[in-house]
Amino acid sequence: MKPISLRSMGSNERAGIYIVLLILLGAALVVNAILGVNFFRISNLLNIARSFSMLGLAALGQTIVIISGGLDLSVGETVSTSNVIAANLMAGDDGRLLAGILAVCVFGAVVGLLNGLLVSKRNVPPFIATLGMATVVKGLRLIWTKGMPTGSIPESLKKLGTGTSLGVPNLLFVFILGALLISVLLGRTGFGRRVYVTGTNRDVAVLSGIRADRVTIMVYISCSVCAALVGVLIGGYTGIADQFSGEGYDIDTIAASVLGGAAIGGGIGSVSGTIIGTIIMLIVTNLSVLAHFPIQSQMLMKGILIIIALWLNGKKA
Amino acid sequence: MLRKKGIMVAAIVVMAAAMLAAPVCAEGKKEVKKTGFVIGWSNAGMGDSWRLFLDANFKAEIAKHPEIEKYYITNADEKPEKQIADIDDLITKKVDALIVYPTVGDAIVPALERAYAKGIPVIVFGGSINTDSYTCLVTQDLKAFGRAQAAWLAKELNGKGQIVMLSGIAGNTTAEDRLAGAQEEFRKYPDIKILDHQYCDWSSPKTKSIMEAMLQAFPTIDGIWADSGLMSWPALQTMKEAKRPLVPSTGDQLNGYAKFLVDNKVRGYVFPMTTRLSGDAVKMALKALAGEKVPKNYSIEIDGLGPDLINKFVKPTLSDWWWIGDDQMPEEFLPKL
Repeated sequence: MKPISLRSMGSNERAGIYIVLLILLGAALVVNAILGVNFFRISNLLNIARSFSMLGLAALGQTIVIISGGLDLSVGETVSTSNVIAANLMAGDDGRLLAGILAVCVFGAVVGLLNGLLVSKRNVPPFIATLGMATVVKGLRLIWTKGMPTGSIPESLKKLGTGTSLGVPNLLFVFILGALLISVLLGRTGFGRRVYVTGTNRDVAVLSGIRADRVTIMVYISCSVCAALVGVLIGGYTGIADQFSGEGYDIDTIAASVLGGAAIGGGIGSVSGTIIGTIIMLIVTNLSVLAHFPIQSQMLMKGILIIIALWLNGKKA
Repeated sequence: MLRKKGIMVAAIVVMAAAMLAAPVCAEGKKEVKKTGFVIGWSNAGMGDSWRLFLDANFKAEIAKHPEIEKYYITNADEKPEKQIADIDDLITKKVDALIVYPTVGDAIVPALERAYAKGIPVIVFGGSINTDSYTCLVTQDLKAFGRAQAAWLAKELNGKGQIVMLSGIAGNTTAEDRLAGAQEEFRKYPDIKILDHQYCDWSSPKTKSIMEAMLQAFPTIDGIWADSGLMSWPALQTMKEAKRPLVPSTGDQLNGYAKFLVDNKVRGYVFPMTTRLSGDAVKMALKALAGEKVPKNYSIEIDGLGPDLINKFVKPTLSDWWWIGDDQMPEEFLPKL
């Protein structure tokens, strides 16, 4: 039986990812000096910040699920579909921005609710339940759009996606708000404690009087709402209603969470860890493009870094 | 008695001869089916708007031929095992001709061979297959696609300048063939420097983030070669947001890309990834059914669209995901928005 700990993750266990981050920053300095690639230029860092804000928010949602002992493979399709819903409902009209965001949040909540019900009430393994949900979401989207999304992104959303305030990308403010909320939720509320306990040992959680089913449903709703919001943000970032905008988000959010120290078995994970995991992934991508590394090298580097981080974390089951 | 026996033997001989001759006579009189054809199309999937136009072109072509009585379309949802079952199902439905847009060419070969062995003309389009058991392979030369785009861009830059190249998914045949064609063409222009080539997975957010990095790395970019408007469009958008001058670019016939070019008065070249493939597959199937000689490999001739034609074909009020130039068919067949 796994011991229950209400601590997210000890500083020792998180040392691995800090070491990887330092290694990467060191590599960036070297590459920058030798190749003169402008990695540390403010404009490049702001570009990374934008990508980080979107992936980071989705990864935080995934982290909540992973801490609870689950996994969500419907994140990508939820992002894509919410992007399309937002464009369709907003139809380029700034006046419809809030209504569109609300509608997208409701969509995300419904997806999360269904995921949570399948996992908690029907005991469907999370991998299967959320993969099935992803297929359903994709199918419904294709039936609705017939493969041809309509609508357009309003200017106000584009400003949110690409603009800055006080020199900081607007997207980063959105992320900071989301991260603070999730951090408080996980670290300072009874709900957060219940998420960790449920993830550490579900049976003990139930015996302790925790409504584990309810916790499970809420974590999946949280994850899907985060994913849905990211779909809107991507719309603002690209200015395009793209039904494939969420491709890769399933794996990337899991990778960022795990790289940040979240344990797939549950009970371990943190907002700060996921933030660092996301930063590591994006630095690798950005540095690779700046240094003109071919795609094969990029994949190799990402894989090696994940292995190093996990190795240094050294979490035993 | 002998006479009766003789008559009996003669009658038996005549009957036997008649029975043996009957098939030959029947063949001589057998009519080749000229109408009432049933066409089956095993489609790899219907996941995007390009496939929608593929479907529209198929149905528009079918409608031109009264000799086709019925057609079936199956959707494999990109799963090879489903496509195998779909093809077997169409064989069971006794289709006169089978048209296939493969999911994974090698995986569905056994099903194609079964159909071909039954004498059903098999027309494949949109992908290569590793068998000779097909009647006709209808293709678009994707290396020529890449070459044409590169040739236009090189001419636009007067054979000199610095460009970036954006491809689809690494390892994907479509992306790699287009890239190979473009690289082959650019080698003819030693004064055109390829600053970088990246795979953007035909994804708008990924393209944007890669282009942002490229703008950091390269102070001057004179042109963008992209195998699809799915990438050249967000790439140009990124340049616009970075307040960099917009440059000549290439792409495919995505309406969103065309709209961006026209709205921003920037020159571009559209080389269609044509959805006429499905319509031409129907034509080949009917030729085979009519007993005409059908080429084993048939490559569709395509012309690109320069700025003037882009202005003519762009659909400003329609979806960004409309495919311009592929909509030259009666309105009843066009995708409904």
